[in-house]
Amino acid sequence: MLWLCAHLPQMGLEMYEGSLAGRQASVVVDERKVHLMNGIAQEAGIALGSSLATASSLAPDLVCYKRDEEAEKEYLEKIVPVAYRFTPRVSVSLPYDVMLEISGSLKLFGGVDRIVHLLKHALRRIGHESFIGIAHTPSAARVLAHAKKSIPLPEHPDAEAVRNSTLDCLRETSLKYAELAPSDIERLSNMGIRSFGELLNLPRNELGQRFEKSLLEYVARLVGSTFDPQKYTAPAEPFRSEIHLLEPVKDRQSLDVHMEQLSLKLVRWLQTRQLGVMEVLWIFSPFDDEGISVPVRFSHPRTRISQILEYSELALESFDLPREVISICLEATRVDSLLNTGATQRDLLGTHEVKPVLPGDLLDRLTARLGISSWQLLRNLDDHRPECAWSPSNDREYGHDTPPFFTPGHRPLWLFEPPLPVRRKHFELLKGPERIQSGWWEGHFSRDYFVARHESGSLCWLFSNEEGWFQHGYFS
Amino acid sequence: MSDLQTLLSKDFIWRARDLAASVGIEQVSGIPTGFSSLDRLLCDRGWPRDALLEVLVDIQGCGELRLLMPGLRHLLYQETRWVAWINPPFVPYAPALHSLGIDVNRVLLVHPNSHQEALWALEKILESGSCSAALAWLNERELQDKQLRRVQSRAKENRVWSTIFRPSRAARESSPAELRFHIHSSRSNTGDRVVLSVLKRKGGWAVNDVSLKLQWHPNALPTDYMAGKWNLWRRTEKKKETTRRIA
Repeated sequence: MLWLCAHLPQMGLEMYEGSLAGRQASVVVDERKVHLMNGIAQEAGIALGSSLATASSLAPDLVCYKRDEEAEKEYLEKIVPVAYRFTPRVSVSLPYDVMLEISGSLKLFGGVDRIVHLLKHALRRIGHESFIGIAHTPSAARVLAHAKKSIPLPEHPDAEAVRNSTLDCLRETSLKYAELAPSDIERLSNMGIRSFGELLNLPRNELGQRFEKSLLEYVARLVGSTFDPQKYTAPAEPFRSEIHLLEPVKDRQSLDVHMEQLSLKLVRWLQTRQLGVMEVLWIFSPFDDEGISVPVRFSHPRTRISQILEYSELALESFDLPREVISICLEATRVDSLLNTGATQRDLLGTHEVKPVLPGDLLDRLTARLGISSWQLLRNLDDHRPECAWSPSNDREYGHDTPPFFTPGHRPLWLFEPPLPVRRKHFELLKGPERIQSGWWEGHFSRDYFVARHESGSLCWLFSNEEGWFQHGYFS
Repeated sequence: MSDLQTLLSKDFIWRARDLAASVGIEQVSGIPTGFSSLDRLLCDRGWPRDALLEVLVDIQGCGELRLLMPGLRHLLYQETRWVAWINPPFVPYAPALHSLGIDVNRVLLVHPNSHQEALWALEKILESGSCSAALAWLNERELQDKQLRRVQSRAKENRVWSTIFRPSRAARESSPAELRFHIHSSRSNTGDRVVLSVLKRKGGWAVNDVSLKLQWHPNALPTDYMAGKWNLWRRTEKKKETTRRIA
């Protein structure tokens, strides 16, 4: 087992600020005490744990968020898909840690260093600074990540080497990073035990007599002498991600930055499930009003961020966005498996299906800018009633074309939908009649169709029934 | 006369009708129109594969679509790309298209809400590379010369046979289209002929009153199939009858 802990010390703040971080002093407050703060707040002289009043007197334009542990937990779980790229064994550890078991992924990604690099990069792209600790047990990995220490590891380490170097590294580490009750840490420190090395050197039995059982259990988990099962998180099924902004966004450029961030999250989410997105919903909300929703539909499952963004931008053009956007939300409303499309559209012998490939990029562009009803595909239906012998569709599963087995008479290239009432005297009948009747169960009608010439010389398709004469098309 | 013939067969005599060959266009690079007399008039011996064609017609129903259909059928047969109909005035009727041999599965209809949207859609369709032909009905009142110029250049770049339908009064204005046809309507139209004038063509003068014979139903597959079945059935019936007689 090789455990990697990604510690996101500023997550509680970064989740509110997104990429706007670093312009203004901001803090997260828990029970009126400063819990987290950014660099600017630190420069202003604010200390962790100081009261809100002190903080605001030090930095007059201080932005302050109230800590919401439920929201933090939810947010942390949304980060899991990023880590899920590297291993299926991902768990979260409250408040700000993501745990990955990476022993099975070393070969695929090419070593520990590479995974650390990729993970840090992926986290930075969604706006989080991270510290990575690697050890043979989850608890030790957490301690190392919090202490910002890393152990020297070969590219493909074996279990014994990891264990030894972890314990070596822990010996130097201060006990304040231990996940123990603060009272226990204080008692140990009063006894002169300030580092893990000193703690581990003590005989366990005596330690157990002076402290509670939980301390012994923790030590056992830390060194790996007892099993420490983790609850792996499976990525949640529906995708929905939001960004709440620090200050309202008024221009499109800064909106694009956030849209890209959300799309990136969506793409990662799709990759882990081998899915493509068929429809997304953007919601842009102003501060004090209902947001507007912009749906974007795709003709086939999409996986690339550039495409999702391009079609979203096109769709946005036909909507009036609120003047000031304070929160942006992206939802994947319909996803589809990638297995049904593209490369797999072959039969057993490797021959291509006859079904023509949809010009998906073009259709998505049209849908995004002009709306879903702006385009149609045609198909034949085997029906003798003229208006039922064809059907338009917007569906990518359009390929059920059933051409008529036998076309008896002349059919016009232009059809009127619905037929147009006309006056008989303007027309000269050339061919006909051809009687077309339908059954009582399908809206009974009986019509005599003629090929007729209008006074102007155009060739028309007329029919007469008990209601009079109608034009049903042009022979263009 | 024979002297003239021998003179013409010499290589050093350049004749205007060799224009196409001299500018490096292959003789048979166009899409066969399906009408041999029309093929002979056109520079590429067929519809241009990469240019704008203007069809000037005032009323519907005088054969203007059926003129294009054999070429369209040929193009759909040759290529796997689609055919786009932008802003068609009525419903293109699928069974009729099918009976003229058009693959209905590769027809895309686009219904824009305004002239600007129509132009945008047309441009995207030309640029997409997924359509080999485009038929467009644009709003004549808002149509500007520079817009047509743009369509022509996009068609050229992306090799799309683009056709625009306009009223005949547009003949008075100049147009960047490579080929312009005016289709005459006749009071005695019976639907089996289309009469047209070529107003503008590459490598030649305007030609008046070209009369082409239209087909109602070229040999569409289902009818062949039916006839085959019918013959087979008749033959077996005959055989049965003769064996019965012998018996």
